[in-house]
Order: sequence, then structure tokens, then C-alpha cells
Amino acid sequence: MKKREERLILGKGQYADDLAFFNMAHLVFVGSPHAHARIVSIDTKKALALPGVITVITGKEVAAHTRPLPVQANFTSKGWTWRLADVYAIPADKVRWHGEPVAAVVAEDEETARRAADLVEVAYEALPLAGDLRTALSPGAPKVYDDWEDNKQVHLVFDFGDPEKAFAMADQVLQVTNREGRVTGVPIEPRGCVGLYDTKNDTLEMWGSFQTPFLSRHNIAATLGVPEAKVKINAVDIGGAFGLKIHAWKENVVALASKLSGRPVKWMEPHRDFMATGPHQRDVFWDGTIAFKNDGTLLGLKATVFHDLGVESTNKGIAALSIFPACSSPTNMYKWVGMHVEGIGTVTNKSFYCAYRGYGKDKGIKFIEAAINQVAKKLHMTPEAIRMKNFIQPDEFPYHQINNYVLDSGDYPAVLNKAMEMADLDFFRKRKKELAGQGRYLGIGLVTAIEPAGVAVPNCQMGGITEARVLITPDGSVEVHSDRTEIGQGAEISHATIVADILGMDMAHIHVKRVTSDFIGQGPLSSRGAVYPASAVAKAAKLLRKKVVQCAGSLMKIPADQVVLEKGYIYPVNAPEKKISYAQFADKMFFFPGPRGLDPEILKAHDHLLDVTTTWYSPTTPESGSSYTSFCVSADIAVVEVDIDTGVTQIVKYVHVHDAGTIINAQVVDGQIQGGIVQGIGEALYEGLNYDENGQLMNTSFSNYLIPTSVEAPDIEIAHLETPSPFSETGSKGMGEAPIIGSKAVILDAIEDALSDFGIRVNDAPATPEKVRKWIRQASGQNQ
Amino acid sequence: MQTIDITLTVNDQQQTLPVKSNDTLLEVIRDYLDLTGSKEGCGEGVCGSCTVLLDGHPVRACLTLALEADGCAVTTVEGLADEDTLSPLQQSFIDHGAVQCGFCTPGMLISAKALLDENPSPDRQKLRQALSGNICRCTGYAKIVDAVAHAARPESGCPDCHTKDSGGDHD
Amino acid sequence: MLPQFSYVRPDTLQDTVRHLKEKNAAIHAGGTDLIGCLRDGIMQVDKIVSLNALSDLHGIRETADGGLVIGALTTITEVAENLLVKQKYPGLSQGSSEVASPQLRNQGTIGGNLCQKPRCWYYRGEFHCLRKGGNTCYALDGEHQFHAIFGHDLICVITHPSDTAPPLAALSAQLKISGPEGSRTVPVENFYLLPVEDLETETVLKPGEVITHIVLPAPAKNLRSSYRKVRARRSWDFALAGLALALEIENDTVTRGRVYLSGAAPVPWRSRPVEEAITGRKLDAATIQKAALAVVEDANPLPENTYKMDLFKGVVEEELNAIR
Repeated sequence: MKKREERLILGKGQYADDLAFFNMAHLVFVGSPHAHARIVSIDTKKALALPGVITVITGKEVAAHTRPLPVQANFTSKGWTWRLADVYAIPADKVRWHGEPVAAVVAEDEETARRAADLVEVAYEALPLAGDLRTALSPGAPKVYDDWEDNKQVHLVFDFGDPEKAFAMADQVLQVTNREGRVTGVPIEPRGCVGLYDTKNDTLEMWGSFQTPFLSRHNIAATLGVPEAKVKINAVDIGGAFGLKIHAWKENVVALASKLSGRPVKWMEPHRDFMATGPHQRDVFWDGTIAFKNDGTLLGLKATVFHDLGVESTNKGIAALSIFPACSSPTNMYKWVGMHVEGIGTVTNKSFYCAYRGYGKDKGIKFIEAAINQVAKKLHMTPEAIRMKNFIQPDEFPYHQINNYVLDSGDYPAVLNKAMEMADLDFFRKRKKELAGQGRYLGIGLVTAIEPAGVAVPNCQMGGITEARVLITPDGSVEVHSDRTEIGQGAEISHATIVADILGMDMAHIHVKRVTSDFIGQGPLSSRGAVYPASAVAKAAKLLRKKVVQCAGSLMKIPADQVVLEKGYIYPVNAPEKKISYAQFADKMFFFPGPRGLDPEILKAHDHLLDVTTTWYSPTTPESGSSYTSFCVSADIAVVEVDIDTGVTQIVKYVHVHDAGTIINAQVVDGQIQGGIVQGIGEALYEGLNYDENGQLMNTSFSNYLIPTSVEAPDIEIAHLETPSPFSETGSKGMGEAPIIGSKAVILDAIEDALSDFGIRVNDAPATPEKVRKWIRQASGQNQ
Repeated sequence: MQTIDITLTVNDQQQTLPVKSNDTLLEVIRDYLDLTGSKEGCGEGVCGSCTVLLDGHPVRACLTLALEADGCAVTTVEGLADEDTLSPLQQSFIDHGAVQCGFCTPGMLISAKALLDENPSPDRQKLRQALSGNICRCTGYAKIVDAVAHAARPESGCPDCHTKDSGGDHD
Repeated sequence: MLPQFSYVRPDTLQDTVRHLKEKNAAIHAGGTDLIGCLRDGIMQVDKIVSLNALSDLHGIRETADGGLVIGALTTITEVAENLLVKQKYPGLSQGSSEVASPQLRNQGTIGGNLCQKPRCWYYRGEFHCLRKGGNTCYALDGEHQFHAIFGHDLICVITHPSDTAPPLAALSAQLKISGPEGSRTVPVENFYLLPVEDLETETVLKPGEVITHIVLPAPAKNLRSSYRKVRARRSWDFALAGLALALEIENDTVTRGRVYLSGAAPVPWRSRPVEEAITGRKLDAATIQKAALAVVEDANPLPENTYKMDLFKGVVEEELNAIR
């Protein structure tokens, strides 16, 4: 058996598109050419007549054979708006965004399915569009969901601390706005799966690019009306996910197609469809006022954040729920008196909102960081000075933030100081002045962030559900099961490292099993991997270790506390020469002599198998209501040069200092940091989904939705501090999202600094060359 | 549809294959030869996941008609190792943690191999340029660039890299 | 998944031309643009005529007078890296190395690069636009931030995507073309058609015709050439604004200058105002300033692409400063 990475590097990975089953049929969706239209009629005769076509599924069949997509979050409270629509995986009545499937063709091979898809004749009656937020919110706007009063899906209102007092205490207030364009995560592998409905046993099994098999099972089973116990979802190798492969939706249709055809059915989403009908994120506009004292003390915030959710209800609330962390996260890592934040989510005729690295908590932090840098400018303070003044101090943890977050640990000033030292701020500030005289524009950005990680929220599918199992087999190898799918974030190595350390074993004998829906848990999302699943695995391993020690003591006739587990061997502390390997130990435990070789007292407890299944829950969430358990810390400093003639930004230096608590595997942590930073740079400089006036997404290709390549990615200087979290089992903190938050904010801040002579606010991401030029033009008083 | 026989030498094995005029080299490699290491990401030549060597040059298998490759030598990711013994380049990817989700890895390896075959000691800038046609969304490229740089100059060591043993498997 | 078509790989130019005359026949050189177009279904192709067997069309050779002949099937990488090209025509070498990505440059040919189809996202998308025989240019009133500011006549606002055509045109290159009527030579500057001349094709190539060679005249003694491309992303991105210069400079004075823009117009766009501003003058600050203003003299920007005016001004200023 090979390590995962070795398997992948030999080209032996098995991703969704590599799956092949005997007698497998292929499914292709027919997408709507309209962004908003009534479906008048669908004629499938020509498609069905094409040799090789097995069936065509339209909204009518979907409505007849399935239930509406199930509710995933119902996060209501008094005075809030929270609407959900009854929608099916394929609509029968009207289409709500360009590319929405109106039919699915199942054929013997993919080519035939594609040709037949072109033969499905659909008559539409085009409807006026609610194509953007402004239109969607205007009076009398076309309604995305006919039975709603208007297009507002969500309106949440939060008061944290005492906002009125904060503003009463203020010497000054400052209005700040910030826009983030619509983006998407774009794992290189799109979505795909194979569904196999066994009509003899009435069971469904699916294999594919599932980030959260347990949740997907629930949602697919609910849609199909099959008991969950008769459905199994298997994650295969996953070519990146970043949150985008959490939601099962088109997958429901694949399951139905298999049920109706009695065949294994494969569906691979073309990249362009993944862009046009896949999950999107960001697309927010912040309008807020920040209150502060003349000495730089931050006091409060009153803000509203508007979200363009697209057709959110395809996700039945789970993406709208990201408005909650968006509203909570502006507290970031500072002390506040009070905040009043409102989050508004509006549906439009665009593809649906989703989870993507950040999930809302990014938005509040990016906004408040921009706002604080504005305050610093107004007060003629440096960005570091205003932060140092307002940071929560190392001796104040655990710190109960005004929004109920219980911040676990950290040394915020130390993280920032380290970053400043590495970035050589003084040098670059001097350099900026020198170059200014030569018509060159250097800018220095500075941003600090914490990352709320390990989500547990009531009334949704992200309540903090996790399970882990660690067991020793008769040959002495170890199986590790959890809900944490490997999506390229190092789940397997991390789990193997944890278990190997606890059991005193060589990693080669630890086998982290592929995740299936048999294992309960909400999966890797919201950077919970190092919090919930890792804690559950560590807890299970520790319990297993206790058993090993107890049983080995019994076999060796020594007290349990004299048993040593080290490097794959078990021995009495006083007699290392009597060591036995785990394989020998397991053999004794299972067969020769087997359980009867143990102390009868152990057997009487009915718990002698070397197999532990357990669960784990945040120690802080139940009492405080904190939605997150760990809060890693980061500081980003970037130096950029902007060519003001062309608007092109070049990154000169990038420093990132990180404290994610105890590091389980340094390579994994660095990989998350480097990857996240480059994604954030993409969002800051290049990435933006462009809809045209007819509601069609224009950039559905890697050639016009620009994500960074190796020549745009900078060399990143990284340093780590390690302040263990007191609240996780391993001391580590969730950390996958901080890098994408800080990097986007810091690049935009650096560009703003570079353009300081023009007095430009860089508050509309991405800062593409054309936008930078427009800003300079406007600032220079030239005509548009 | 009728087929035409072509001859391909894939990873040093000569094969005669019946292909359709509209088959791409990628389809032939994946579907006829069951060499699924080469991936289809975008299907339009931008992402680079399908990169293979055609007579020694890295090309997009998704934009190459199989008929156009008739008589050519093709190297895919499956041809890099000697049985299961990793090539130094592959080993360097493992050592540097350059594999995250692994989907871009086969194409990335092929582009890196092509570079090193032609220029055994490229500087970091050259290296980044040579890989610029292979999109990776997980790594931010840092570890990939480290891995290729190290494979090019193993004697220089890698002071900046975290080379910790990896572990765990998938079965 | 590609649509169905037949495939031939003739081994003579004569046969090639014969096949190409047929209805819906298309040339396959490197295939990088063609296969993408087929996949996107933007043109109907019943027969693919591969040039792969025409060995005469490969390679770069020096002519007796010191010019170069480049076979149309020479890959873009070969052109970018060829020492003679680097020495004689740095602008062409620079333009070639700005094309797409390393792998596509290995595959794509110089002839194909000159003949590539537009990259307008409406044209490449599901829109039945003017250029595909429809009756609307969707970009005109739609998302046109990356579109033309010259030469569109408010008809079709594509920009020509080639990075090699502007330097070739600036360098006064000629194209040798074979066709049913024999062969002819067309200067690159006359090879492209504006929307007002023809809407459904971008070049003067007639059915059955194929570019066989590109001929570059011997470089004048004082020739300096360059190509600069401004784009958001440094790999695989088309020009927002580009500038090809071919200037003959004696004693700091421009005696002859040809200036072409990319990312500017439906064809590689000759900027005569810049040529006039610099010809006969020393490339001093005042001249360069004048040239920078001149580059947008005849521009007709659309509401969302006025920023390109600044880009061209900036690029002209930076590049004239660099080349002097």
C-alpha cells in the first residue's frame, strides 16, 4: 500500500472522472439559455429518438419522483427575515439563472448524451430580470421566487456590546464603504460522480467528488425519499474543493437517473458549466461608520452589508447563513464597546451562492481592516500603531468578545512585530519616498486577522457534528476513520501524524481511511479539520492508547503505567529488551492466545477490543454561544509597485506571520498558507465574475476568469508562532482560511498606499488594470 | 463512426490503436489505454492538467487530435517512474509537499520534466515561466517551484523547505 | 468532446488546396485555436485538412539578402527562441514569447497565430452574434471592457488577439499564400479585414488558400524593434493594450517608423499619428509626450473601455523611452 501522495504522483489517483463501472450510462444536463424565463413546453422526442439515448429527465419527472431540495439552514430569530423557496434540482415551471438545468439526458456514452442534449426542444417565455442587487431591491422588481413578497431573502440584525455607548464616547466617526466583486473558488477538477441505484435491494451508492459525504447522503436521500440508511456516499480522490463541493444538487439528478434507468450513471460537469451553474461567493457591499477616539482607540461600528446571493435557495439557506459570520467578524482581534451590524441577502438571477474559503468571516475582517487603516490615516497614525493600541493582549485570554466569540489564545502584538521585522518596513517606507520622485509608485500594505475556525451553529447542517474511530487490526496496523475528507488540505497526513504520535507508532502503519457517509460528521468546512475531526481523532487515539497500555500490561504482567509505546514497539519501562511489535501485540490480543490471555477484570468490562469510536465537541460553544472554537492569528505585510500608466500591480515583497497553535505538520500548514495567499491575490487583482445585461456569465473559462499562475504568485516569506489553543485536543487551531483573508485585504491596502498621491480609496475588488486606470483618471479630474 | 489505425509509442511501448477522427490524444490515452493519470480540467488548453510530452515537447493532450500524433512518442505521468520507483523529480515533489489535491500534479510534473530535460539548472524565474501554463489552485506554487528547483540542484539542499516525512495512505 | 468531422493529411500543397476548397473545410496547423473553436461549436467544420505532412512549411532560414523566411508551421516557441529572430527582429521574438503559455507556444504555429479567431466572449460564448451570422454585436451595448477602441465603426468591436501580427506588420513582413489560383504575396499590413470590409472573416484568405511562409525583409542597419503587452495576468492572457515598434533611428532621430497596436482594434492597428509624431524627430521628452497624446487621436472608445486610452498613452511613453 502506498502513501496517498505517492499514489497520486504516479498517476494512480482515482478522481471522479477516472471511475468506470460495468454497463455505465452517462448523463449530460441541458442548460437554459435564459436567465429568467417561464418554461412553456419541452419536447424530448427528437432526443429520445437518437440511438443510444436511454432517457431524458425534465422538471416534470423530477417533481414526480423526488421531493424539493431539503432545508439546510433555518436560522431565524425574532425580527429577522429568513426566506426559503421550494425548489427542485430541475425546475418544471421557470428557470431562474442562465444555465440552470431544464433537462438531463442519459445515454450509452457521453458523446451521444451531448448530441441528444442539443436535440431537446424547450420553448421559453422570457421574463424581465432581477440581474443585479440594485434592480432586485427596487420597488416592483421582477421576482426570482414568485411567492415571495420581494427579493430579500435574508435580513439579520445584530447588536454586539453597546453600540450607542460606543458612538456616544467617540471623538470622531468615519464612513467607510467596501465592495468585493463576485468570485468563485475554481478547483481545477469540476464536480462529478457516479450513482448506482440497486433496484434489487433498493439501495443507492454514489462515488465522487463529495466534500461532505455525510451531509450529501442526508440531502440526496431526502430528495429521493429513500431512507438514509439505504444510501452510501463515497468520497474518491478530490481535485480541490475549497467549500464548493459541499452542496449536493445536480448529484440528486444523477441518483434519480440511476434509479429510473437501473444503470450506473456517471456525470462529469464541464468546466464552463461549473463556472456558470456552480457556486459563487463574495459579491458584497459594505456601508459602515466606525467610531473612535482621537488617540486611536477603536470604539464601535454601525454597518450594513448587502449580499448578492444569486439563486441562493438551491442551497436552501446554507450559503445565506454565511451572512451571520460576515456580520459578526468585524470585531476581528480588537477590543470594542459596541457594534450594530445588519446583513442583507438578496436573490438575483445569477448562479447560486455557496461556501468558499472564508464563508463570510472573511468579509467582516476585510471590511474592518480597511476601515481601521482609514482611521489610522485620518489620525496620522501608522497602521501598526493603531493595531497595537487596540489588540487584545496576551494575558487577556480566553477573551469574551462582544459578539460572544471566546477567543482562545494568542500573542497578537508578537505576530505583528515579527511580521514588521521580516518585512523591513522602515526600509520600504524610505524606498517609497525615494521612488516617488522618479514617477514610481510603491505601496506598503499591512493587515492583521484572526480566523474564526470550527463552526457550530444551531438550526442548520453545521452544528458541530463529528465522529472518529481509531482501531488496531489483528496484524497490528491502524485504521483511522473520520468525517474529514482529503481535499488537498492534508487531512490524511495530519490524522496519521496525530495517531502515530499518540500510539508511538510508525506512520507507515497508520491507514487513514477514505471518508464515506458511514461516518458521521459535517466534514471539512470552516477550517474545522484541525479543530473537530482532529480533536475527535486525537481523543479516540488517546482512549485507544489507554487500552493498549492496559492490555499490554496485562499480557506482560506489569502495571499499566510501566508500559512504554515507542517507534512501533511496546515494552516494560524497565526491560526494553522485552519489546514486542504492535503486530505481535495485536496477534496476542486477537488470536494467540486471544482475549482469554487477558486479565479477567478487563474482559468483564466488555471493552477489550482495540477499537475506539468517539465524538468531540467544542468546550466553549455550549456555554458562551461562540460559533467558533479556535482563532488562529496572522499578520500580512505586502509591498507592491503600481505602474500608473498601465494600472498593472506587481508584488515586490510578501510576508506572512502565522500562529495556528500547535503545528501538527509544518508542510501542510505552509501549503495552506501559500495556497490561500495566492487565492487571495487572485481575488485582489484578477478574479471577478462578469454578468452581462441578459444575465449571462461572460467569463466561464480559465482564459478569461483569471486565476494566478506560477509567474504571478510571489515568493512568500512565512514565519510561525505557536501558541497552543487550550480548547482543541491537540493544541492546534483551524487555519485554512486566514491566508485568503489577509492576502486580499493587504494587496488592496498596498495598492491604496501606492496611489496615496492621488487620494484614491481602493474599495472595489478586484483592482484590475482597467479599474486602477479608471480610479487614477477620476482622481486626476479627467473625464470618464 | 469509422476508425483509423495510428501508431503511438506511449511511455516506450509502441501501440497500434484504432481512433476516430475526432478523438483527442487525451481521450485516447485515458479511454483506450486506461492511462488516467493525465487529467481533463478545462478541456480548452488553459489549465494544463492534460499536459503530456509529444516527441519530447510538452503539449496539451486535450487540444491535440489523436490522428495528429500518429507516429509520435508520448510520455505521460505513468511513464516517469521506473515501475514504482519514483523519478528524482517525483521524489522531490513528495519531499517538498508539492502534492495537495494532486489533480494538477501529473501535468505539472510533465512540464517540469520537459524543462529539466532541456535546461538542467534553470533559475527560479525560468522555472516559474516554464510552469506558467499549468494552473494549480491549492499550493500557491511555492512548494512546486521548490520541488523542481531541488530536483534540478539536489546538491544545493533546501534551507527554506520543510522536509518532513509524510505518511498515511488511502485505501 | 469534439463534433464529428473527416480528416485528411495531404502530403502536397496541391492536394491541401484541393481539400481546402471544399465546403466547411478547415486548416489544422497546431490545432490550439481550431480545437477550442470546434469544442465551443463556434464554427461548422466537416473536414479537417492537416498541414502536418508538409515539411517545407517548417523552419526558419535566412535569405540571401539577410532577411528571414519563416515556414507557417514553425512553432511559436521556435520563433521566440530562434537566434536570428532575436538578433534581427527582437520585436517578433518578444511578441512570440508573449503568446499564451509555454505548452501552447510549443504546439501553436506562427501561421495559426496570424489566423486565429477572435476571443470576444460573446463570439466564443453562446451568442449568435454578427460575426457568426447573427444581427447584433452584443459587446457594443454589453460587456466591452476588453474590446476595441479603434477601427470598429460601431459594427463589431472585437480586438485581434494575435501578439505576432503587430510586430510582423511593423516589420513590413509579407505572407506567401498558396491557393487554387496559384500563389500570391500579401503584406501582413493588408492581410486583415475590418468589420466594415467583411464581418464573417478576419483575413483576406479565400476558400482553399493557406499561408505557407512569412517573409521578413532584411533589417535596415539602424532598425530597432520591440513588442510590449499590457495584461492583467502574465501568463495566458490577451493584451489589454500592446505596442509593436519598428523604428530606424539615426543619430537619435527616427528616420522611419512603423507602429502597430494590439488589443486595440479588430485588426492589428497601425498608428499613423504616432508614426507622424516621431518620424524625422529626435526621441526626446517632448516628442515622446506628443506621440503619447497622438496614439489616441483617432480613438473611438466605448463607455467601458476608455481606460484603454490611458494604457496606450502610457505604453507609448514607456516604450519610446525604452527604445531610444
